[in-house]
Amino acid sequence: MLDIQNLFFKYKKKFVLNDITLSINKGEILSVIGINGSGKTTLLKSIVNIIKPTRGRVLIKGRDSSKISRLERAKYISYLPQNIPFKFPITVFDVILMGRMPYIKWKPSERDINATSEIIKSMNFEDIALKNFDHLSGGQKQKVLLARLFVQNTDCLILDEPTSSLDLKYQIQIMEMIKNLVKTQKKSAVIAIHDLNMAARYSNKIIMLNSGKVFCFDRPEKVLTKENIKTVYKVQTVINNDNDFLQISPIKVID
Amino acid sequence: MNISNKYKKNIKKKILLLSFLLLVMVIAALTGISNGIESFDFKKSFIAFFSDAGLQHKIIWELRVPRIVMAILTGSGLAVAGTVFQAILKNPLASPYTLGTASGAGFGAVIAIFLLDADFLYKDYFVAGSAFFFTMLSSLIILSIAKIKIFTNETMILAGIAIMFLFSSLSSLFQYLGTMEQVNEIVFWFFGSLSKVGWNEIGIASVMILLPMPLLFKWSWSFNLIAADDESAKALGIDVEKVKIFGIVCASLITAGAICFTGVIGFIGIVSPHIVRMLIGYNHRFLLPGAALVGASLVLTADTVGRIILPPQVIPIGIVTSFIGVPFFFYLLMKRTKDYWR
Repeated sequence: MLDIQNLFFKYKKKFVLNDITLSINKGEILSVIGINGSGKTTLLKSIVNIIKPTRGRVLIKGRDSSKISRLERAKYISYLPQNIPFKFPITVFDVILMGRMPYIKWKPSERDINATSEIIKSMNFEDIALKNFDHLSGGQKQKVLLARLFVQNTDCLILDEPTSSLDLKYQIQIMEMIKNLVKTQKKSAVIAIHDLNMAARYSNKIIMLNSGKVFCFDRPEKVLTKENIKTVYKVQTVINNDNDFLQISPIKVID
Repeated sequence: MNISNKYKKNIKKKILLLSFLLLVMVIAALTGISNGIESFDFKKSFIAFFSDAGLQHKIIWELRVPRIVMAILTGSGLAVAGTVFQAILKNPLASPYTLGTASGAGFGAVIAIFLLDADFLYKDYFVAGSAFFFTMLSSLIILSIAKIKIFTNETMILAGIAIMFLFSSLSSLFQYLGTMEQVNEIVFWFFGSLSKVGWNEIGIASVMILLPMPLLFKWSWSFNLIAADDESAKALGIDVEKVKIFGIVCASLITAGAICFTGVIGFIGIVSPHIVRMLIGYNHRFLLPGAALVGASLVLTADTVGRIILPPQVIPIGIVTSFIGVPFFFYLLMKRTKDYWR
């Protein structure tokens, strides 16, 4: 579905991304982990082509994404940035409807409005649909933005820390929503995430970045080992595998 | 009721509000035609409008209709330009006036008035062209400033004020150096006035104002997204750089067209979009036409007020709009913490 081949990104003579190669199949979630400044957001932005990689290729369904027009690309790949600062009042309905942008010329069609209404219904947003987006809580805002991503209806979804700064309930709700969509509709998702437990629980594959390079790219239990975490995060951990999924408990910082 | 019907009903309400704003503009225009130093009632002016002789007919067709048409062009132009600047710069205080682009246009016009012979045949075209050139120049300065991330809403406006001062003092310099006749013309220009506008000027201004408008209206959705966030706009398939640059060029052309023959008319560009946002909301599909109608109505009303308040004096329109605009500007500053300010 999505193939990244030898991706480099240079910023001020320094390689922020250094030879990244990875691939993700239909129905899979790939988590990108690593310390702050390891290149997670840069990787995501290069995949969506918001920034142009210095070298390397991004293939969506085998097609070179840099050779597709921006509008056409928006029908294959969608992106949820870390935060969206809306400065003007706008209704929840219009925020979600924006996800139909690649399909709208000037007037949203019946289909765009229906797609938006359906997702509003399925996420129980009926009461807030015509309210000001800015008046919602952080968790609700993130769910609305996720709805916008879903309504864009692309095969690949790229999400930059969708659960950061949310409380536990919303964290789980958001991750479950992404997982359900990926599984039932055979989509692919790439998620930058800080919470290693969330990454362990919801990903099919994890890529661990260390100063712009792939440190490790494999199944969660192969990536999330004491040794790897110690090398990359400089933190000593205890890892439990009693239940169905890994549990990582940080113990102390190693200098 | 299901949500998509609710939304459609909401859209219908917005269209209804737009029709109401159109009605307001028509009434303001009719009032403008009927009133002045010599006032008629609607019926009389209606008859005079369609008759083909007489003093009233002359007053209406030679004095009032041109200024009404120009008021509509100027008002709608400044309002649309202001809306576009606010969206592209993501700044609710942006407008041709506060960003200094209007002063750029002013300086361009002054320089042309100063350098060209008063009876030079193509003077109007040069005034318009020179105004456009300097509007573009100041817009590009603002756009490059906006690219530097540390600039907040307030500092960007301060930069706009700096640009405004720069062009104002340059204009003053030319005033200082000019002959009595030139100074008169320039001073008059700076008050902002619709009195000197004839059909020739209207022709040039309407090309500059009306030609770019459909393009800006077409980009309504792009402006919706860019006003929120460049990155998600890009991810949703919008060529953000293209829309920004052509948007600024169009808004500058409109500003120059609105200002080059009428002088500095402040606050219309900032006040109109905010009024429409309160009435109709944020969506540029309705915001842009709404702002155009409100801007036109405000200029029409300000012009009429200026003509009837101290007869036989005609108070220049720029002075009247400032009296309306300044309190509103303060109101926006006070309101900042509540809604669309961060």
